[in-house]
Formats: sequence, structure tokens, C-alpha cells
Amino acid sequence: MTSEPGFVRRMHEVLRPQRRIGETLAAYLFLAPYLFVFLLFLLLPTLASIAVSFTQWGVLGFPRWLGLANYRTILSDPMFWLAFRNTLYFALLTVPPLVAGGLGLAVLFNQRLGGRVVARTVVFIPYAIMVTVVGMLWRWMYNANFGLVNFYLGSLGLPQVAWLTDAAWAMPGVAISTAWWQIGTNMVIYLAGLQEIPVELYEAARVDGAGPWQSFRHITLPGLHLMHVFVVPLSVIASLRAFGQILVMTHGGPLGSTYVLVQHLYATGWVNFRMGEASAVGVILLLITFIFTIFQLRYFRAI
Amino acid sequence: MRTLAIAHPRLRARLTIGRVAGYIALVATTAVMAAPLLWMVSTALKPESQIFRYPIEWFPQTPTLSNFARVFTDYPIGRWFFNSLTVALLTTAVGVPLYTLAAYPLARLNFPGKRFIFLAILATMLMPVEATMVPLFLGLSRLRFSDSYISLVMPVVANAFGLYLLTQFFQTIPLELRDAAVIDGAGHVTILWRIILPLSKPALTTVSIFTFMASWNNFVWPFIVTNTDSTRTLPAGLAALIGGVDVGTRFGISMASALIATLPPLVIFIALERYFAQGISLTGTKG
Repeated sequence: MTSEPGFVRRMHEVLRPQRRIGETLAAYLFLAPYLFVFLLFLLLPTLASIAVSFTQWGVLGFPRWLGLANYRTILSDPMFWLAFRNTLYFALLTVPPLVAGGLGLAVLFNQRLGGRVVARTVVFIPYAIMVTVVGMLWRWMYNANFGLVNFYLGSLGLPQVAWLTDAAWAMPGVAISTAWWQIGTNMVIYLAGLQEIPVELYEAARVDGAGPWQSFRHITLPGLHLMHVFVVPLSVIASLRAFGQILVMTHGGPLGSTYVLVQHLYATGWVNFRMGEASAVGVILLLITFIFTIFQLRYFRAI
Repeated sequence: MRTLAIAHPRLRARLTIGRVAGYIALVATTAVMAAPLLWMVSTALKPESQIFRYPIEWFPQTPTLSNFARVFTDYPIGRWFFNSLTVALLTTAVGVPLYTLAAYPLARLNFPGKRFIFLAILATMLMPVEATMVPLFLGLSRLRFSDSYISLVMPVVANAFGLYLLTQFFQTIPLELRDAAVIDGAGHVTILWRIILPLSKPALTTVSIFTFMASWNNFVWPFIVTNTDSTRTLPAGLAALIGGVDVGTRFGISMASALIATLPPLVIFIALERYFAQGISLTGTKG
């Protein structure tokens, strides 16, 4: 019995050359079906989008090489800059409540409170709802005269707002509905993180005279570092990609106040049929996402 | 936090206040989060004459299914539903086996190029897929696939999330089991089939649900690529014909169709919630 580990090691040494070639071959055989789909439907289109962005391309005709002309057109198009500003505004309105709110709810539902399991499920349920339905539902919620939101604002003595038809309130309105839809996802991730923080740390802090806020600041927040690395960039990416709920709720209006980058991509490509230019918008979106993500991962020292 | 309830009298008094505040926050959050959903159900069950009432009424005085009947007679929602279901099932049936096969070498084998492939896959998960839509659309139109199930299924299969989850799961299975099998002369297919898969049932369930839901809720691409009701899925159909800004003021019909689109995933979701939570949290903890 005692000689068995040695025996195993010797077996591995004897088998190594053939095993490595065999292992590589097996690995690529197992990977091949997925890699085929991945290359054809994800990687190739991504690379092709860069190539297409340098061309003039209608849906039917043949492409014509334009160089950087599409980018010049886009960067001098006020609609692009409107969409760019609106997208940043939307990110600014959604990411902080989604991250801080998700964290807050996780801490709340991590306490021993009766009914917390039901509450957790309720908060998480909107995740299962499709984006179109989120838009349809909140269009009704925000109805200026008969909607639920204005009714309760009124009964609390607060001013009522023409949510989706007022250019100043449409984006906050869209942001609130998006927060309602997405906050459960972040809560679940933070809850998982909270369960990995050792209880002893809190006990030790209490013995040392730390209050709840100090425990949160010095144990909970740093203890969730891995979760922040995941939650923050993904929330930002989701906000840069927002479109469906906005399309249904406001169609980019009123007065372009909710017109975002993905809608600009859609309008350029499938309303105006300028595929080359739409592709360039896609590449710019890709670059923005890339830059944002790199900065955040740097900030969290993940890369 | 849970150990804070101790005998110190001053602490106890403070914690009782804390607990009351906690309950108030919990009830308020639950109410705010649940209200839109209950309002959707309430509106869907109201006859048109009771929808626009002010002050609002939570309970329909004469509940009716007429909105649901109207949705089915006025719109091809049955067909969209069938398309969504078919596409989601096909995506799951094609995707999960591919993820399983690919996750095995990424999790358990050593081979040149592994790190590169894994990083490339990981990078695409952080990428806005909207950037790929133009070339995908141009390519699939040229091949006359633009209005077909294939064009709806394959781009979602290509999404690496399921593969990533399975890779993470497979890495948690103890190595000794595999080594024992290798000594017994088992090949990789046997190891995957006989050792890893039986231990991965919860993981496979999780990935199946996520793949199904990713397809069921997929919006922008189906909205662009489907032109006719023969392939149009629910999210695309609803956005184009029922929910949009131009047409969507018949709120009874709108909420009835919203409920129809929400019920199947909601049932799956509530029945299998722990798998979702597990899957989502795993992406964070093991990332």
C-alpha cells in the first residue's frame, strides 16, 4: 500500500509523452463543436464588424471601401453625441443604485429576520421578466393620469410627474424601472459573498468595541472585494447596452431625451440602412465598454 | 452580524430598535418590488371600463379573462409563444451538450492554448453583443437565413456564459476520482460520462435554465432578424405590435400579454430559484 503513490508517479512518467499528445488531441476534439459555433457566430462577427465599419454597405449592394469616413460622419453627427451623453447619464443614474442598493438589500436580507426568504424571492423575481414586458409594465405604471406611481406620489403629498412624456423626467423614469428589474441579480451575488465572510471577524470587531458601521466599513466592504470586481463592471456594461426597455417605454423620446447608443446603432442600420456606419457605431460601443472595463478592473486591482 | 444578539442590556435595547427598523425596511422593500407585478395581474383581469379608474383599485370588481381572449384573437401571440418556446428549447438542447464537452478540457486537462482560449471566451462575456449584429445580419441575410430559427438559436448558443459556469463547476470535482479512473484505463469520454456528469446534475440543471432563459428573454437580435410571424418570438412581437409607444395604450391587452409572456419563466423561476441563485453567485465567487 505504501508504495502506491510512488507507483502512480512512475506510471505518469512512463506515460507522459504519449499522454500529453493524447490529452491535447482529446482536449481539442472536445472543444471543437463549441469553438466552431463560437468562431462562426461570435468571434468572426466581432472581427468582421471592424472591417465592415470601414465600408459603405447597404443591405443588398456590394460594400465599398471608405476608410475612416464612417467614423468622421459619426463623430460629427449630433445624434451620436446625444446618444453618447444619454448613455452616460443612464449609466450614472442606474449603476450607483444598482450596486449600493444590491449591497444594502443583501446586508438586510442576511440578518435573521422572519420572512426574509420570501422577501429575497420577491426582490429577485423581476430578473425573470423579459425586457419588453418591463417596458410595457412601466409604461402603465408611469401613466400620468391613471398610473400607480403618480397615484401614490399624490397620496403621499408629493408632486406628480408626467414621467415618460416630460423630457426632464423620462430618463430618471427609465432608470428607476431598470433598477427595479436588475437589482435582484446584484443582491444575490452580494448575498453569496456575505456568506463567505467568517462570523469570527465580526465577533472580534465587537470585542474590540467596533459599532455596526465600523464593522460594515472594515469587514463587510473589503470582504466583498471579489463581488465588487464582478458586480460593478457588469452593471456598467449592462447600462451601456440598455435598449429594449427604453424602446418600449419612450422610443428614445421625448425630444431625444432617452435616445441611447444601441438605439443609435439600430436606427443607423435598420431604419436608415447604413450598415457600414452602424457597424462603426458598434465598434465605438465596443471600445467604450472596453475602456470602462479596463479602468474598473485596474481600480479594483484585478488586472 | 447574526451573533450581535447578546445579553448586554444596553446592546439589546439598541438591537431591538435595529430589528424593528430591519423589519420595516424588509416589508417596505418587498411591497415596492412586488407592487408592479401585482398591478400587472390586477390590470390584466379588469374589464376595460374598470382600468382607468381613479383613485386606483387593486382588486377588479368583476374579474374577467376577456383581455386574454382579445390578445389571442387580435394578435398572433400563440404563434410567437410557440416560436419562443421552440427556439429556447432548441438553444438549450444544442448549447448544453456543447458547453459540457468544452468545459471538460478547460476544467480538467492540460493542453497548449488552454489559457488563451479561456481568456478569449471570458473576454467575449464582457463584450456588448450588439457590436456583432451588423456582420451577423449581413452574413445571415446573404445566406437567406435571416428569418429562420437557426439565426435565432446559434448566436445564443455561442454565448459563453453556460460554458463558463460548467467549467467552474467541473473544477470543484475532486481530482482523485479522475486519477483513479485513469489508472483503471478509462478514457476521457468515460471520465466525463461516468464520473463528472453524475456529480454535476445541479450544475447541468442550472446551466440549462440559464440557457433557456437567455433565449426566452433575448430581445434586440430577434427584434432585428425576424420579419414575419413564422419566426417572430414573444419579446420581438410584443415590442413591435402590442407594447410599443405607437400602439400600447390598450393597457388591459398590454398587461394580459405581458402576463402570458411572464408566466412560463416565472413558474420555472420560482420552482428552481435556488439554482439561479447558485449559478449567479458562482460566477462571482469563483471568478
